[in-house]
Amino acid sequence: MAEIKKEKKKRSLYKTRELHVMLLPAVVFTAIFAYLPMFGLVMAFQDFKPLLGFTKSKFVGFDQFAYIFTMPSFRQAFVNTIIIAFFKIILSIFVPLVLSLMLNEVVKSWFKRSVQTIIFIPYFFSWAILAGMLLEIFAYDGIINNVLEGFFHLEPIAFLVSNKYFRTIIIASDVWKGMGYNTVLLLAAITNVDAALYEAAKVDGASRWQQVMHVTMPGILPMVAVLTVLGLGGILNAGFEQILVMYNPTVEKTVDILDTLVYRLGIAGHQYSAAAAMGLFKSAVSLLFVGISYWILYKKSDYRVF
Amino acid sequence: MKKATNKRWLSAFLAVIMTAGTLAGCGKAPADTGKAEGTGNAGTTKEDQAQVSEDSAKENTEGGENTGKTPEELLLEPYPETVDIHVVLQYRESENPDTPNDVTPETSTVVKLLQEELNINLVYDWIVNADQYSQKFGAELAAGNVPDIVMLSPNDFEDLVSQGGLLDLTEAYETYTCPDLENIYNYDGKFIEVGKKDGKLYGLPMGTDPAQSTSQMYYDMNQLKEVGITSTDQLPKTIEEFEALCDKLMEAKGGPVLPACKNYYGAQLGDFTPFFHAYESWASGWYDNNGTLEYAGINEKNKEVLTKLNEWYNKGYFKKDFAAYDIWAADSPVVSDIVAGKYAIVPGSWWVPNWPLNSNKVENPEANWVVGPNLSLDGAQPDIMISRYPVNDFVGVGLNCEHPEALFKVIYWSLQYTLKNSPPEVQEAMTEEEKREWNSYVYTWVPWRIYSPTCLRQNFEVINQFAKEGKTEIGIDEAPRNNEFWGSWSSYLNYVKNPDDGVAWGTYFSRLAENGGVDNMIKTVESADIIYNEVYVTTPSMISKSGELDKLRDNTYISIIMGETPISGFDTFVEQWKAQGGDDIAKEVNEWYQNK
Repeated sequence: MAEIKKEKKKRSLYKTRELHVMLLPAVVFTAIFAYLPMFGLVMAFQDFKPLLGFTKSKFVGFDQFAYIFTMPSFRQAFVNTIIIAFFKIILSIFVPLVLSLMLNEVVKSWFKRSVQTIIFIPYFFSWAILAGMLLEIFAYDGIINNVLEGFFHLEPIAFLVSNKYFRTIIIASDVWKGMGYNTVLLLAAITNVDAALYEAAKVDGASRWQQVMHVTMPGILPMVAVLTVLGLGGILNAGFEQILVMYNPTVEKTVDILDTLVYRLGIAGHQYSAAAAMGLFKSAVSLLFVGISYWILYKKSDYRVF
Repeated sequence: MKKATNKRWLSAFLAVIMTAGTLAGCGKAPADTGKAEGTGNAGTTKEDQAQVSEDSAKENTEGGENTGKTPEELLLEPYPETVDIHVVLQYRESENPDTPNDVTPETSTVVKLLQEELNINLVYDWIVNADQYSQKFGAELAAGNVPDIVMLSPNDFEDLVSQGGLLDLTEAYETYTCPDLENIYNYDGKFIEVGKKDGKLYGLPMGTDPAQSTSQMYYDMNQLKEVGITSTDQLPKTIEEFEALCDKLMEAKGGPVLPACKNYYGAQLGDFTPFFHAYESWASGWYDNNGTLEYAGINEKNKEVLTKLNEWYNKGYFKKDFAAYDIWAADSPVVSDIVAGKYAIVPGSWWVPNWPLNSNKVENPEANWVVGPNLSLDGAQPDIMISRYPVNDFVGVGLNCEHPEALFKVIYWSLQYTLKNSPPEVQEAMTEEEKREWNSYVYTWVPWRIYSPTCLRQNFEVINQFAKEGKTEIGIDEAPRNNEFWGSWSSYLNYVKNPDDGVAWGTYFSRLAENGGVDNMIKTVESADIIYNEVYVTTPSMISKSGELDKLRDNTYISIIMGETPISGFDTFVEQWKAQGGDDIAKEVNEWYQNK
């Protein structure tokens, strides 16, 4: 019996041999660019000097980890990362959800489509461009302060150096930039809801609001759940590029994240080992979160990534 | 069946080709790493190279003895075969407005003439904007790439030497050095020691006059008329008087009244350095306290100046979001405000009249900038701290270079080229083509400098002496042999001819005028009690920890000035500073200091 099974397996492998050979380059590619560099992680346990290389650099065990864990800027960056990522994940689901529900109720299709396009546009701009605009808008003598001063007679606020406001600006601008994308995803999910359900609800005398709450919402809930839980895996990715181009030393206290710290330490400060240790730590924590989130997904909605 | 086999072979063959293609794409990287490791770690290889350079140096010395050649002659001798010298560059726009627009570093005169006259082929491996240099250099270094001739910050210099990344220059130095070159990297006969480790020379120190770290107060007398100041005697001497003046300006014109930027200390323009100095406080530097070196940045005394700056911030003397602006960024708004005449008071270094105050004077010819007294608490000149040996950069030779002596050749060539072409008579006699070639020589586009640290004082004295004698023409032999002399001399002649021109005023007032930038700088260091910043070496802990420590200090200081952290936060900062590696650095510099 077992023999036959083995035979079968062998045969099917043989039958699909061309496909497997075609897969080979991709496997090699992944091995070289994703797996091979992992050996570089050894530098997290060394006092790595590039000209001495991996073989001659001094092995220091967990010293680099001990060093980064005592760094106040590390603790600060870790907390900031969690806070910023948490709000980004929640808001980048919630805002598009509200938007898509509202857009779905719009009858005039030209209006719906143009709004959809307009909110999608920022998604295509790079952070380098948007940061230039945002810094200009929030400057001490920028548009926002002019409006606050002119219409509301408020004192201008130094947003760009304010530890009170800058984190909110970072989170809000990220949500604003990405909301078009998730809105389109959710709108697609809404269109997939069976039209018969709405008709049945109408027959039962449900109002528009009740239809939204009892038909649309349950219909797209799986999509919302998937988006949220997948986002959880990226809890330690709080948006490196955005923060790198927008922050300044004064607001490091509230927006410095692990990735920007690794960049400053490793690339700008040439401390390759400490930066590698920090990166490894981040990866380990991320792996944990990815594992948990996928497990939740599997248990709750029977969605399997692997 | 045969057909099937063929097909199988064909597909396997294709797969192999594709895989090989992928591999070839990244083949270079591992090969490079291998090379770097091979040369870096194998002691024999390094010794071999030292041997090679020793031999070539010996040959040259012997050659010199046989033919009676002086170092000067050897320096200008072309190589028999073209020598490639790989360099990297942090790019800034040329300061010379006459530089043709189509000239790039690769097409500049220095590249062309080094090839023609010395047979040296200068190859730029990469060129990036100055603000990205440190990141790019870090990434390249991580890949094991060290250029042949390289300009390094003191931190990077120390780091590279400790990894065996730089060649020993001792032999080449002995063979090729001459008085013209000594003026640049060994002006007092001791400066060169800074570039030595265990008696071996690894880099030529590029320094400045220690007095250049002083800072001064510039006032526009024209704007100050509004608040009743009509003569320079009325300018403030104490912090108290200064504050009263700022209050008056606030009333008359509204704030902000002082330029400020995130580079709050040591920026040399629009920073708080003169105020720190008024309190005899310093944000950095190691001074000798009864034989022990102490770090000035954690001194209790700094609380006073920070408290005062916080008061001023609350009063609105500075822009509320000053800490978001970098004075050295391209198109910095702080600089454009100064040029636009927004400020009647500008703190800065000796060169500030030469830029950006000259641009202000071009736009507002009635502006009348003067240097005021150095501020202090009691009106007397405060103690000042200056570096024992201010080294900005080191120029070294990377381990893969086979011609360490090329470094001396290119520096010497640059100096001779400048000295030969800059006298006014030579300039006037130039044809269009020669002029274009001269203007295409941008000395900041090469990774070495020909600046002599003593030139500011020397030119100030010599030119004022000539002026007293009423000279308008001088011979080449009368001129000091530093790279800036002829420029200063021309600016003096230019100012005499056009005293109302803003640009002519700028160069003259900064370098040569009585009570101008340089004059006040010299007077300051001659009248003040001097505390030396004794440390001109970089210790291992400094390499790894000073970056984050400086950041901690800067963030704390700025946060206190902006009132986000109460002044008691200073004590927390001192504790953190010590715990995060400050104590390690203190231990290392003191060990070095005792055994020096």
